[in-house]
Amino acid sequence: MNNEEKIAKIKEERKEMLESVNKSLKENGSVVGNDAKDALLTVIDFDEKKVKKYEALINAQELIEELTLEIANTTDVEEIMEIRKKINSCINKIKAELKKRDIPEERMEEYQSKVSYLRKDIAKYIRFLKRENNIKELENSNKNYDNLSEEDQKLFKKNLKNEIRYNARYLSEPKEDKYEVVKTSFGDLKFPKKQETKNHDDSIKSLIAQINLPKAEEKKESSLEFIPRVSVPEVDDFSTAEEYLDNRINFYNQQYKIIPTYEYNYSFLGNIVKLIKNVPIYSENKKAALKMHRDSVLFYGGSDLRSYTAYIQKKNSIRQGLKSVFSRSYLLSDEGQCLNDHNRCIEWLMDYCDNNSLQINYQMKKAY
Amino acid sequence: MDNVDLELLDNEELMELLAALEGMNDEVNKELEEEENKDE
Repeated sequence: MNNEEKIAKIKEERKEMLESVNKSLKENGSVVGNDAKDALLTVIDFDEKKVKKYEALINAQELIEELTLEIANTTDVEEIMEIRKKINSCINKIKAELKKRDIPEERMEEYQSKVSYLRKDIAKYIRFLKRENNIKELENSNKNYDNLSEEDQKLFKKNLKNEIRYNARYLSEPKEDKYEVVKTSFGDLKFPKKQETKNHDDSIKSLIAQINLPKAEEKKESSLEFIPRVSVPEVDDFSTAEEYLDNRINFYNQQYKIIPTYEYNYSFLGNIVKLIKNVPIYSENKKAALKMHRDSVLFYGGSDLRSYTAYIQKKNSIRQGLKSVFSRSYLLSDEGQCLNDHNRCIEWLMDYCDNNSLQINYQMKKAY
Repeated sequence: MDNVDLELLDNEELMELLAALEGMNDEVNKELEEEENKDE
């Protein structure tokens, strides 16, 4: 019988008792005697106390259920800190009450060992509920993934990896049904019926597969994939600079398949690579090509280049590196040499970004 | 907590309530700690 049922039973018994007293009053004009009356009042008083006690137990049970669910249903740090304040205030009140009772130490230890299961069970149950929520959230993200913009998809991929790592503790919790009810002397802690969790692990795997997160070993692979060299078009084959540049850009696009290894340096790297891909072969005789090149630099790399320049002013090593990258691309007039330089530039940048991507990313953010 | 009349609970019931709250506190602290590490 739970506490609610106990209260209902007491109230029912009291009702019967009062009905019997009223009946006796009606029929006999008095209750059967003072002793009986006192006894009746004592019973009623005793019952009152019992009801209050059961009510206190019910409230304690509700408090624990509410707090547990509050913790499980939020990931917001501010909210969690608020909940912690509430919990600590409750803990302090209970400790004060226990102190008032002056319980002998050995008795306290005995109690503690008796109830230690509950401390573990509640923590475990919260992790279980968190797991449920996290999985549900990941699944919802998965459903919405296709509707995201390209930029948001990139951001999602980046965040998801962190989220999965962060939530690993929760996601690895067992999925059996055993924590639905935690038994306590203030009642069974009942929690909402959980959803079927059978396929959740598969869902996560398929989610990861679907969005094609970079694997650890991929990081070591070269960022560039060279395809066999095709014949380089001659500058004199084209009548206008525009035609020449279009051809050049297409050529570089085909020649170098740029595979960004890290999501987080993609936008930065992408712009630099675009910049370099559009640097045409410069010779003294092709001033129009140089003009187009400048236009393409402004068009493709303008904003990144500005912030990048701000950054390289502070960092000698990067400045030297970039200076050599860009000056070689700008100034070399020999076509074969220039092409080699393009390879070297891109490789250098790729390697540099691979080795320093976090730092660059951070500095780039600051520069913006 | 204001709804719970602690004086009416016996020692063992109080200790159980305390254990449950401490279990929550453990979990909340772990979560906040992880959140801090994540930020770093």
